[in-house]
Amino acid sequence: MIGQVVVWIVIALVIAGLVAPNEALTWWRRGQQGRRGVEWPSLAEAFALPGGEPGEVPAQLPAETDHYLVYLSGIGISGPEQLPVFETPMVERLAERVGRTTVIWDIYPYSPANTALTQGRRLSRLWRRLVAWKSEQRLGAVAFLINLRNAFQVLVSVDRRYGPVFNWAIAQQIAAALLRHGYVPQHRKPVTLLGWSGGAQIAAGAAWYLSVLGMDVRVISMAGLLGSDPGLDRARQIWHLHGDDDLVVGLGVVLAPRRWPIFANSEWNRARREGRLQFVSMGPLKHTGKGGYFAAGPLLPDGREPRQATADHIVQVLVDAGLASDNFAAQPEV
Amino acid sequence: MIWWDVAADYLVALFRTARQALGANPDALQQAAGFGWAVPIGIAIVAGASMMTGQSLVLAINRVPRRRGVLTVAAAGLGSVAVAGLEAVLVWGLARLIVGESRPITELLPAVLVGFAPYWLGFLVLLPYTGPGIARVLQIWHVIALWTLLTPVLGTDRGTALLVTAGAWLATVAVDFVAEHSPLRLRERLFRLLTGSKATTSRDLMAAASSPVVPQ
Repeated sequence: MIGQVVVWIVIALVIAGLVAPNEALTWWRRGQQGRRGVEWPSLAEAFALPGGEPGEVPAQLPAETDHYLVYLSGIGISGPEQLPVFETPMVERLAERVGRTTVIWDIYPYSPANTALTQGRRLSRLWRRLVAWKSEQRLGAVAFLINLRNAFQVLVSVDRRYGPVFNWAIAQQIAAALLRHGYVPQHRKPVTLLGWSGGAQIAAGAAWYLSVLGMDVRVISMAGLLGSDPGLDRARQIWHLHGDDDLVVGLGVVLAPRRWPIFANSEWNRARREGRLQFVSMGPLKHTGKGGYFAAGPLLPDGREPRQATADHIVQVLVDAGLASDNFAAQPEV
Repeated sequence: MIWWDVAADYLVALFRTARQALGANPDALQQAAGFGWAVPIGIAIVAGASMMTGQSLVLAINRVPRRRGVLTVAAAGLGSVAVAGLEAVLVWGLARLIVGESRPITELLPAVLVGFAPYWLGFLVLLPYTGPGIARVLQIWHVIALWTLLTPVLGTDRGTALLVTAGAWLATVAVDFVAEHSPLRLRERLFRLLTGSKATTSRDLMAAASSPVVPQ
């Protein structure tokens, strides 16, 4: 009986894996990419609704800022409109705190077309049900299918065969989001991609194409599960933030052989050698759950909430690099 | 006996032979006895088509129309029969050289064709990230299957059969490499002929992301 269940699970995983690259390849087949190279989307394209329907371009775009921070969520996300509940407080805190910077998070980094799982898909009804269960914290194992689906997209991104197509698509989505938030391509303001967990791989992959668009790109891998992606070669600076108690980050190293020291000429090790890759310890934080990067507790030995410590480290990195200011440092709370 | 009975018997023999070969059973060829060459050739054709399906990303990247894509997969099936022929010639040559074996190639070829059975799982190469690793595993599996099938055919000890098999396989890989990387660029030419498209790869996309890489 158990043997049969295992066989069926393996078959299901294989089928899920086989269809995983389909969305990226469909995006490629239907589009015009490759005929003109990587291009900035038009404003109309940037404001198109997920799925490609035309949207309304506002008369007044948001004001330009000195720096843009693009947050790419982990594999728990299911669409561009809403971050997973547990991530929201940290991201909001970050947006309040980081100065001279626009924080962007309305990107679904696991869909080449930025289409939510719950809309415009054949299995939308199923995904809606799973999202509902997830938010109600019911049937966790079943709702975990969302994470699994997105994890396969991370594998598509890291794969040297599919990655170039997938990462191109996501780079286009990031470029569109930047335009929506007032980025002016001609001014070439610096852009930092902040990828949490699997989002770090997407950030690394997209960096290649964003640099082709003329962007000054940096990558923050927040407990990132990423491979030695060619995109790292195009990132001016990479910060790998990790918790000391995070075992998942260690697993990421095991699963990405080209990050191992024996591959001295891999993108990861080259960046490390050139001083473009820095490791930043975030203290005794875990990957998820209590004591995780987004958790409210238990409090750390210095009295901070884990999520506050996470925001502190990200802001510190940006301030030290001269990319942003710390709003709270300028106007300390009384 | 009506034709579908024959077809059903053939399919049963095909699957049984492939299963035995996958399990590295030296008696696998006996399952195909009633159908002569049809089963070994069928195994190689399915193997080639499956491998091409596993590599069908290149069809997607080049936006190859569906009909031409199917044609390419079918041609890959026939191509694997040709590769098996080459491998059989190399086995024959090495066997003559190493053990003085002078059996005709036609006696070796069925074993080599059936030795392609592991490539039936070639479609799994499509799997993201793990695909290239699976391709390597299938290559090793092919060598093992070939070795076990050739040992009784060559009538030598297992060590000598392994030497002949591994040598022939390495030589086949070398010939394939030369054919692809010499000015001949055989595979690319065939791809262009079948698909009507330049063989743009993922690497090309990255290298030339800032300029047009795919023909209009």
